[in-house]
Amino acid sequence: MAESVAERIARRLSEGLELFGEDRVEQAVACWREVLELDPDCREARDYLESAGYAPAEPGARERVAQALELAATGDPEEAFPLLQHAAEAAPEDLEAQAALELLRGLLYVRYRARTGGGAGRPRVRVGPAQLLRYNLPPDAGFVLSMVDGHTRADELVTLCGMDPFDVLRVLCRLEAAGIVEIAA
Amino acid sequence: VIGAERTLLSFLDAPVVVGDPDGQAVYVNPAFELRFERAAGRVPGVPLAELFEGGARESVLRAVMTACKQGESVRFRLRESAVGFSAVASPIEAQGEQVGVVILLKEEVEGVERILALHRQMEQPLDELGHVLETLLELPGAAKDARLRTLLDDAQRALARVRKGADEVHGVLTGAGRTGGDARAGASAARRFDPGALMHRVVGRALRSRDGEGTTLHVVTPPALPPLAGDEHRLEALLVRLVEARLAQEPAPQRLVLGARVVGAAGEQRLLISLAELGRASYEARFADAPVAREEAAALGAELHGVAHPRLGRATLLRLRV
Repeated sequence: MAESVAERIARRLSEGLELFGEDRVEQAVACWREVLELDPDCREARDYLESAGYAPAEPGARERVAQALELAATGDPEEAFPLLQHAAEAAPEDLEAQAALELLRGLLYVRYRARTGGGAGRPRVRVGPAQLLRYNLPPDAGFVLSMVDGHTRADELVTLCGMDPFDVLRVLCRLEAAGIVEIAA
Repeated sequence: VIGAERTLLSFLDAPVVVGDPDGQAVYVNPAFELRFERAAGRVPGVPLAELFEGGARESVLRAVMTACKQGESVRFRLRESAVGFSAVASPIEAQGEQVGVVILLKEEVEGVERILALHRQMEQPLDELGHVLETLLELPGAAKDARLRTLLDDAQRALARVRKGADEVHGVLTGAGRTGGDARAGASAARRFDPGALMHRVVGRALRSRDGEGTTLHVVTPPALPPLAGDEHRLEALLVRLVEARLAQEPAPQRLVLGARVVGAAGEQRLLISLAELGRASYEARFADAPVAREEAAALGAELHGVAHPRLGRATLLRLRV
């Protein structure tokens, strides 16, 4: 017979205590956090987390993560990304925020790949140097842009930049959206 | 301990030297006199370096320096007059200050060097065995033969245990500049691996599986990830199992993204490895990987967490210590 939510909560609370007793604190914390996912009001899980020195997720944090995912699903994932990124940076220990960010990064990465021709597209700068100076580009965008020559493929730029492929493709797509580069097939 | 006065150290069968903070010998016990042919009465004031010759001198000076600098015992080995010794140099502290160093030498049992030689001889066949197992895993058809895959995964784990045991034996016998458990920890820490290369291997293995037809699998990882310590094969087997579980679904997912990134400040960094499946997913799907992976993740010292959204898909996250 399938385990009920109440049984699962009881089991994970107990497993967490056993792990905590064995000094496997992070695994214990994971158990109790899972309990809070199932029952955000579970006082025992909150007490155990606080005793272990881990604050339960900030009140409202879960709601913000859920709202950001909903925005990504129904609206623009690009708008949802900074919300999740901020949530994950503000609470690096919050695995819910980190996992949600990973889901969105995966979704956006696939889109960026498609927009860059599966990596085969060749970005080219569309604006002149004088006009470029008017943009207040962040350092990573300036760095990626400095390598755009109209010949080098997006895939090759990823390799040349030595950055996270997600960040490089994201910069290229944002530069394209801003009309600074075009990506030829 | 002063000069040639009789102390408890005088009754030890193992040679003992005591030095002062300036690196000069203060005392040697009778066992040292006998083995190293040095009269105890002429030792006080003699630089420690002059009590030993050649490579032994270098070993002793390095160990004394390290022991004084770090304030903890250092285990080392030396050879003197064709006899091998395992040695421990320990700082002497009094009222919070280092007032000297004591070196205890123990003649090695005859078999130690033989065991070390055997360890060296084992390294190459173990590497070859690992290579053979990797090759077998990459053979066409191996990926979809679940029985074979299980056997090979078991063999890789067994090989990893043999390697770990051999490294521990080596660490205990050589000390590797540490003592006891530290030596074992050192041997374990030395076996670090590149998680990025591991992720590419996982994808390579999954792509050879017929189950993966129709699924595009992306790897998104920075070019340089910090090396991880621990059981590389166990982590690889876990990731393969997670990917295969996704590929075996009906219908198979269209896109999977295996990603990695580092979070946290220097010294407290964590590596996040995620597997995102894009598309529709039920809320319960967030727990779908738990039965497959929770125990393995716990054995790796990792935390596992799942998230799911009805229209976006689901992601499973592993958080590992760097």
